Amino acid sequence: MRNFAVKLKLAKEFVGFMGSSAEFRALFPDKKNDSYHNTYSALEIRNAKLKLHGIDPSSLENEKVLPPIINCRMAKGGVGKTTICGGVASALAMLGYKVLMIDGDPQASLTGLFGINWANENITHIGELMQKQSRKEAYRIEDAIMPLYEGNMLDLIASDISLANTDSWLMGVTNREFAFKKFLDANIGFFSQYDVVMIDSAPSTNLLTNAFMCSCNKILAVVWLDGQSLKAMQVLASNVNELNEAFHSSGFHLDVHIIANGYHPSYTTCKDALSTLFSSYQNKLNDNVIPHASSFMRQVELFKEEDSGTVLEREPNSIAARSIIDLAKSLLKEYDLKIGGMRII
Amino acid sequence: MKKPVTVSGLIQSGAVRENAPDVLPKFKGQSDFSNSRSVDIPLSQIKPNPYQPRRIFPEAEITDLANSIEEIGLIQPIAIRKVDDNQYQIIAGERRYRAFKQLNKEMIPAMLFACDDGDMAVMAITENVNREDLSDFEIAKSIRNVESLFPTKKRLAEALGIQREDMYRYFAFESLPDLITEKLAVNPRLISRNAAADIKRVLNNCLDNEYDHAMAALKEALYLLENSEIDQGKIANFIIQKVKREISGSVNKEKEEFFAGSKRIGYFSTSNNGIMIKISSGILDADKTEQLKNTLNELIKGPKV
Repeated sequence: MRNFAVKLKLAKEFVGFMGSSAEFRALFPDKKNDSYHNTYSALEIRNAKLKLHGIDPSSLENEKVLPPIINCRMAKGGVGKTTICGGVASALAMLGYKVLMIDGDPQASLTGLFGINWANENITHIGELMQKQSRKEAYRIEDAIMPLYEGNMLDLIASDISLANTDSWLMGVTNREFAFKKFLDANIGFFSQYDVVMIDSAPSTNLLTNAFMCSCNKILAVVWLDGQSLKAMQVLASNVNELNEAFHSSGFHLDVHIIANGYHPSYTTCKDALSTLFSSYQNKLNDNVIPHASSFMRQVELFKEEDSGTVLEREPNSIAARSIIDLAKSLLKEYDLKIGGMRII
Repeated sequence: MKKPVTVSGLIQSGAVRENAPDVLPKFKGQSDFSNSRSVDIPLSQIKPNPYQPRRIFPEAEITDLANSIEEIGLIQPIAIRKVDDNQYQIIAGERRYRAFKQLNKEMIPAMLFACDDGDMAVMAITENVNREDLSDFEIAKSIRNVESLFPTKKRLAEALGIQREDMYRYFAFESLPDLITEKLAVNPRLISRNAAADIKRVLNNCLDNEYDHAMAALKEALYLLENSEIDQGKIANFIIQKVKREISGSVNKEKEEFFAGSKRIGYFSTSNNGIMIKISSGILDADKTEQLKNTLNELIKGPKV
């Protein structure tokens, strides 16, 4: 469990509170003193937000419906899928949404971003759960969960290198493209307790990444602003088109939402790449551009892994954290996120 | 603090051009797919598939299908090919076609495919092989129908997407005696290709003097199968056991039973396997038992074999 909490200014923004600081502090009668130095956790922000909308948090009953799924995907490594996935997930949790993250990459970089060393932990990854469900063996998803923020505000199904074996199992599964969707449906009672599920996919195009894509309506494609990354759009587009072609008769259609990452004002290539991206995918491109910022590079500590964390946790007032918060807010609408079934913006 | 970067802001400041060339690959929209190849074709211009593997079209099933089509429409268009001007043949979808006829419709949504006889036959079979509702016996017949369209059996198996060994299991149906094939014609689901292959193997391995026994055993097994008293996978073994018993027993088998009053107290039997003597406990006392043992010992010791 991580003890992440934000200070007053950000907390007010996350709750969406317009009044004075004194009034805001009055929303938290349980806090020991009404000091300026109080910090606010994701769970406290959620409860305050609900309270402001006249909803008693304990009265929320989740309908048995699957929450929106945000699958961070790009057919190329190193473009910032994990940074965006982990960053947006922590920002959404701080905005009061219950978030489940699934590390879908055998490289386990999302797992590492939250300071978990897969080599030292007993990890049950998503592939293992899917296999057990398919073979009708006993399993408990709860046991695979690594809680990160108090009150299930941010949970993680971690990954390790053995997730790479999942593909050889999927090879022999009928209707394998929808194997993950089937797993979600079979455990709807568990997944419906979250407001959103975020998946960090591997860069390769394989059966598991396909299965993740076929579970959602819209993938979140992260594009690094250079020529190589734009070229990888060719692979992604043919991958998406192929799935759509194959399954359109069953009513399936996968859309794409694009995030431009790594913008540096003094690189002409960034401007050219963004211009091309805009002309080609105007109505699929998110207006927020993630800057090329050194804060992102400080997220992962090489020698003190447990100190690793998202830019929002480590440098909440940086321009990098700001871009992630703005992006997370824009995704609320893009993916129609709800808190406990309520649409609160 | 620096201002957050947005696409709209960068365009406003002129850093990003709005009219750059639109060169990146397109993601196709939903409407780019929706039944793009489906056309409405008059039912009168459509003929069934001559390679249709399905032999039985139960009226009740067609009526069910027709009712559901009437209610929610046709979800998947049928697949057809053009054979002449305004003449089409069904590749897949004969049940849907029959349901439309039953509903007295004039047109049916169809997708046009260009294919030759070989493709056509294979498409019709694979459509059905992959579904569970066509029996192995029907598949076997349809494979034979299209066999001549392929140069080798290997190519045939490849085109069908099945293993060669599996294809020979389908062919096993043809080598079965009439007494099974007659039953299969009525109930094609009676036995699977695996059971058929096993039965064929057992019958082929029979010696001349065993064959009649094997046929009798098969007949009995089929009777049991129809009454669900035996699993189809066990028929081959059933025949083997039955034949073995018949052969060993029929050569020289005698059995004499011992009675005390009306109560059976034992028996004496000889067969190819040897001599069996059984006497219930308490009939012979210790002395008599000893006597019997000695007598047997004498007899065995006597003439050397």
